[in-house]
Amino acid sequence: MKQQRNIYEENSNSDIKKTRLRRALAKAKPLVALMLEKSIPPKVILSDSIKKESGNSIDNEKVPLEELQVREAISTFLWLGFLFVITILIKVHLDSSPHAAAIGVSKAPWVFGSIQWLLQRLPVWLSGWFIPLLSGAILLTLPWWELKVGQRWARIIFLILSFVWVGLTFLYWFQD
Amino acid sequence: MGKPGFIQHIRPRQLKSGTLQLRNTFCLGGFSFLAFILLTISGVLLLFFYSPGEAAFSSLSEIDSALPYGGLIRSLHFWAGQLMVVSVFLHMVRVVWSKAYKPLRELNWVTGVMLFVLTVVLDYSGYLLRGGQESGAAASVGQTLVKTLPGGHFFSTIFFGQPSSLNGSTLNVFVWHVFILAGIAGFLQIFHFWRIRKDGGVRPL
Repeated sequence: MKQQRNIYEENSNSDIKKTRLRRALAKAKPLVALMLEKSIPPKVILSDSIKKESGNSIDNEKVPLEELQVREAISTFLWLGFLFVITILIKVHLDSSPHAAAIGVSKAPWVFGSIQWLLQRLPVWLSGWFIPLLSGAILLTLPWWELKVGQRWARIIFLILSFVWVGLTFLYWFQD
Repeated sequence: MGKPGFIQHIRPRQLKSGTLQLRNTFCLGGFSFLAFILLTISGVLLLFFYSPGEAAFSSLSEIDSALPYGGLIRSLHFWAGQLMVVSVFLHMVRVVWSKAYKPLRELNWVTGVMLFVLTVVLDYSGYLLRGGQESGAAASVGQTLVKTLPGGHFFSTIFFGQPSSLNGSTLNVFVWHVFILAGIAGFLQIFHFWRIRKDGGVRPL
């Protein structure tokens, strides 16, 4: 009698297990489908409107994020390598101690070399404020300049600004 | 569970292949951001031992000579800063070259120019924090410049505090460099990345 009851309980337990398994499988089906979809390389999707807009439709092909991540990893590695090499090779010295004898003339940091060069030759309001602020304002409004004067002139304006400021930086840094 | 909306927006599962081409970006924006991350990490490490003001030079001297790898971290902070200025400028040149500043991307261009200015000011304030005689001279030039403005004394005190001509490091400059300017730069960069995706990626127009 006891044995019969055990067999009955085992059967009913296995039925419950089977039912649970069936339910779990039914729930898992969409998940499995989703996982399979992720593992397959995504197809190139080209929107018709994009094809019409751009002549170069290859640039609009869809690629997985992993492609970008690999490139990011390689460039990060190279950039960090370069940074560590210059960090190790070129030691950054401390400034002159404030308690030491006062030094004669000190050079401005290279970033401000161009302004320093102008400050040595022109009035402060012009070299320290007007020219830098005007340059900044032109730079900020470059997209709107393009609408007014055209792409070519907008680029020329940017090139002139860049050459002047970079040129002055070099000029200051390499002058005696 | 899906990714949060913002992350999914700047790191979507699929991208346009044009965004991956090296000649479209030269990775310059990414290098600038990488420099910012390194600057943040090395800057936080320096914060544990750096003291602004009178003790600035001696604390840097201690970091440089007595602390294990202190000199290396200080050098790393310095070079990452210089590389960031260069890479942000080159990034701007690239953007103009590839015509990526044009409308509808003008807002991101404005953000980028602001980030360039912030990077330069961060570099300058970092130079002042070195606490030596050279930083004192740089602070004097900056103070004189600001004082020529109407209300210049007020603005000069707010940014520079009371530096001496032999030491440009003050608590004011320290707070601006470490918290305010760096915080604004971090926030603007996140906004910049968000706008890049919003405006259709980094493809040239």
